Formats: sequence, structure tokens, C-alpha cells
Amino acid sequence: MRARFLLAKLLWTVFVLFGSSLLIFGLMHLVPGDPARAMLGPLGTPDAVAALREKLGLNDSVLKQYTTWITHAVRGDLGESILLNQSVSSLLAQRLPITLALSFYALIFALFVALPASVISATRKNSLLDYGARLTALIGVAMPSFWLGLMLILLFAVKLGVLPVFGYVSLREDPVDHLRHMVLPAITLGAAYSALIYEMNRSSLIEVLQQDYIRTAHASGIPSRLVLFKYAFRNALVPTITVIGIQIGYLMSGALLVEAVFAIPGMGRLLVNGVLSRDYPVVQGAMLVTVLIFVFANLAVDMLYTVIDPRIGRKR
Amino acid sequence: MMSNLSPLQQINSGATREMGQLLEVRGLRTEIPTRRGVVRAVDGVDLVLHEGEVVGLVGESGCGKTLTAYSILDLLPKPGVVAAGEIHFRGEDLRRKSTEERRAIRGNDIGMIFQEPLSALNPVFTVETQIGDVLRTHTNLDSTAIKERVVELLGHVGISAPERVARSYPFELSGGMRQRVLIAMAIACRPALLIADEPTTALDATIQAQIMVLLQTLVEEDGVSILLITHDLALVAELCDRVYVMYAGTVVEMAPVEDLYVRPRHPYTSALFQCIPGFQPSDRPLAAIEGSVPMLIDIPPGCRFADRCPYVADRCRTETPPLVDVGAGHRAACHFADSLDLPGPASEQLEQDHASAPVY
Repeated sequence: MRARFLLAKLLWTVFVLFGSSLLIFGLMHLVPGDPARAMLGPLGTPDAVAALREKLGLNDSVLKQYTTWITHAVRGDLGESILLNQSVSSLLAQRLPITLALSFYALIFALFVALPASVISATRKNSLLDYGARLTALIGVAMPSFWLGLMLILLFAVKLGVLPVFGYVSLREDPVDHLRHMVLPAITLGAAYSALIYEMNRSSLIEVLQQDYIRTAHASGIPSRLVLFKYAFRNALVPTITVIGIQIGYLMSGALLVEAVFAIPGMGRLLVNGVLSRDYPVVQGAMLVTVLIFVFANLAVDMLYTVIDPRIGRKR
Repeated sequence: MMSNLSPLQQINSGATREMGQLLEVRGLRTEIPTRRGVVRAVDGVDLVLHEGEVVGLVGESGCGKTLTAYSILDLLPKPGVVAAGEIHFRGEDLRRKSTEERRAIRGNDIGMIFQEPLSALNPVFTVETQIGDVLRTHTNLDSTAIKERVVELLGHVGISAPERVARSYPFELSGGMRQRVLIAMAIACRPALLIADEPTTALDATIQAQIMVLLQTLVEEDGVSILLITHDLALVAELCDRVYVMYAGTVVEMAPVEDLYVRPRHPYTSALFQCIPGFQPSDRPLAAIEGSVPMLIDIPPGCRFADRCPYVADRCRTETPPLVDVGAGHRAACHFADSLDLPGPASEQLEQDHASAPVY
């Protein structure tokens, strides 16, 4: 039964990827007029436009263009950047790890804050600590990330001078400096994410703690700590994992803003610059990779479900 | 003495029975603070349970029978508190013990099984893990010994494929199987006392009978004492030695099961009997007790059953009737316990019922 469940999820994933690739490809053709002319702007000479049309294969039928693009993409060839004179895949190879690292740190930060806070809140429901945590979470969700980022820069980098203002240092260059540069962006990106995970896990835990099986565990003399962290936590985690998975998409889009605020040369910056300069191959490539990450993160979450809750994917 | 007992009773009071006191509850008062005032959910309950004895605690929903059990186990849901009384288990007052000491007693010396076997097991862990955790908590067995003990326990509660069930998740088992698993979990550490809160209510009739037979076996073979909490007087007749009838947080009658069935002394008990299909004479319609249990906030003096009692007199509304002796081991809290001749299922009829009832 579980194999079938996972197979169904995998087929769905393939379907979503196919649909997204159509949309991403279609983008180029949704721009009114000639994409080549739009890319080159008012300075494009007819010769240059014709050359670009030839280079992009725009003279072929739409179906042929799509199949050429997708078959190349599958092989890792996403075309050439028009502005940067570099292949899109090599650009992504430079930029993607930076965004992934940022997202990873943000995720770690979010979990580190949200999970313990949700346990404290759920076990001390309606206490001052609980109210404090919920208020903080509300502020965390409500605050725009670029504003939070600026405030953090102002406090930690400008006033206190303990962390760098912006920029990026790679892990290989200097691990410590790399982390120092990542602290504020990770907090900025992770704040709202953390608040969501906290809210979800708090309410989920509160509900689970009222279940009959928790009473059974107490009646069996199982120590409260074990009841909370084994018997309750695992059940509470299922809805929380869903939020974590779905919000990975948010994390990727949130990275656009955060990279802009902190001047981090990640994929978000690449995508924004690509859009501004109408560098379509770059935009398409970056979007395709983002979709890929999002879809596979959710597939991973689906697989995680079956590990956490044995009922999922099996006949009742 | 023995000749007065039904065949079932004779089995229950086997010669090997020791009659030492296992549990004694005195003056238990359990309160739940609410916005409208303090609810005295359990108000001055006395209860004694001897070793090897099966005692029924009977009453309708909300009479405080389950909260009495939770008070004994220190499992009261917040914000409920035990406000007064003593709970002696094996001669020691549990209320003087620390939370940690009381936790160590639960599952080890006193086991409990619940009404809803469907939701009382954790859905994401196997049976082996859940019973194993109880053993890990209370014993020093290593993991191999725990696995063996789990399988042994499952076999003991009548599961025919214990190895397979041990590896199963609760959702893979039927309701009857789950209740057996819960019983196995409750008796895992060989407790002296088993508190069974409506253990068969959620099960269908044939499974009910099987579970009752299992409980009976535990009493006879393992010498477990059972406090059976139920609203079902028919169940009590099958299993119990003595019965406490609770109404609105107080005990209104206490008697050996035979005496209660031959001659109930409290109008409430009698009314309960008349609500059981098959227990009242067949020419009379099935009765229902009019009205409902009073709110247990600012309880006025007088008998709590007065508003619903067909025999009510002026005295009942002003004077609280004490629980007094009305026979050997038989007590009732009614001003007219001696004078009323209350209908109960006659002894002859009870035996006929047993004769015609399916053999469990």
C-alpha cells in the first residue's frame, strides 16, 4: 500500500513539473510582440534581433521550441545568459548553493526557536510565557522581512558592530566569517517561518495532549517527559511537517528580498536581475530550479509522513 | 452463607480468597473550580476494596464515578483537585505521597483500562512499543525480555497471534483486540488492582461477553482485584462481589451484589434496575428516571435524589440522609430505607436470567 502511495505522489510530482515547465516556457511567449526585440530593447538593431531570434530558435514552431528547450533542460543545459555571456547552468551552480545555504540556516533557526517554544506554550497553555510567545509569533508573522532585516542591521551591525552589515563570504574561504555573514539574513528569512511553525505545532500539541492515548500513557505511569516528547510530540508533528514543507516555497521566494537587503549574490538576486534585464534564459532556468526544489521538498515531506504516521498511505 | 450465592458468586468467592483491605477511600471530595462556582463532583465518598474482590461502582453519567477513579490514580484533568479525604492503598495514604511516587504506582500497582479502546492507544506506535514502554518504566527487564514478556502478555489476554499483534499498529486491529491490548498493558506489571472504566461500553455484544470472561479469568487466575466502573447493572451482576451505587457525587447505596438485586434499599438503585431491559417484569414498560442530576454547585441540604424520587417526603428536602446500615454489609442513604419495599429483580428471576443467558 505504501509503495502505491509513494508511486502516486511521484507521478503527481512529474505531472506538476511538466505543468510548471509549460508555464515557464510560455512566459517568454506571453510578452507581447517579439521576445527577441523585447530582450534587446530600443537599442536592438534589426540585424541583432534577427541574430538573437536565430540563437534562441524563435523561428521554429512553438512545439519544437518547447521540446528543444525541455530536452536540453533535462540534460542540464539551460541555454546561455544574454547579458552575462555565461551558460545559465554555470550561473545557477554559482548562485544556487548560496541561496540553499541561506534557506538551510533559516530553517535551522526557525526549528530551533519554534519547536521548544511550542512545547513550552502547549504545556503551559494560557500562562504568561505562552502569551509572550504567541505575541512574539504574531509580531514575527506581521513584520515584513525587509524591514526586520534593516532593523537587525541597524542594531547588530551599525549600533553594536558585532556582525557584518552585508555581503557574503563563502564557506570555503572562511567558515567563521561565512556564518557571521549569514546570521542576520537567516534570522530575517526565518522569523516569519518560525512563527508559523510555532503556531502550528503549539495548537497541534495542545490538541494531542487532550487525546485519550495520552491519558492511557499517564495511567500506565509513563514519566511525563516521555509522554510529552515521545507519545505527544510525534503525533503533533504531522500537521507541523505539512506547514514546514509547504512553506519551503515561501522560503525560496523570501530569499529574493533578503538577498536584496543583505547584498547576498544568491539565486534570488540572479532572478531579480534577470527579470529586470529581460534575460529570459536566466529567468526560465532560475524558475525551473526553484520549482524543482519546491516539488522535491514536498515529495520528501510526503515520504516523511509515512515514517512518522504509519496510518498514512495504508488501508484503514 | 455459600448457599445464598448464585453459581457465579460462588466462583467469585473461591476458598483461596484473601480478604485483606487493598484500597480504602475515606471522605473523598473532588472539586472542579468553574466560573459559576466550585463543583463538588465527588462529595464524601467512602469505598473499600478487599484483595481479590471485584467491586462495582455504578451510576449514570456525571455521577462522579470516573472522577473517583481519577482521584485515586492522581489523574484528575485540570483544574480538578482532591480537596479532602484519604486514599489508602495497601495501608499507605496515597495523598501523602509525591507526584513522582504516585506516578510509579500507576501501571505498576494499579492498572487502568478505559472505555474507548479505539482512541486509548497511540496511533503512531506499535503495540510492542506501547506495552514495552510500560515494562521499561516499571521494571529492569532488557529489551529481549521485554519483547518476550509483551508476546506472553498478549497471549495471556487471549490474543491468538501474539507475535503478529505485537508488531501491529492499533489501526490494524479490531475494537475487541484493542481492548485486549489495553488490558495486557494494564496488567503488564502484575498490578494488584485494576480499575476498569466502562471497559465494554464501546464494544458490540459478543465482544463485550469475551472481555467480561477475560476480566473474570484475571480475577480467578491472577488474583487481581477489580474496581469496575459502569452504568450497566447487568454487567455488575456478572462480575462483581459488591456494588457501590453513586448519585450526584455521593454513594447512596452499598451492598453485596445479591442483596442489592434481591432487595435494593435506595429508590435510585431501584429506579436504575427498572431501566434495564429484561430486568423488570415483562408486563411493565421500560422505565426511565425522570429529571436529571442536579448541578453540584451550592448544593442545598436534603437528599440529592429528592426531585426525581417517586417516594419523596417533606423530610427529604430538608435533611440529608446519612449512609446507614440496613443489613449485613448493606448500607443505604435513604430516610425510608427500612420502610420502603422497593422493586428489584427478584432472586429467582436473576438465577433464571443466568440460566438462560449465553454462557460466557
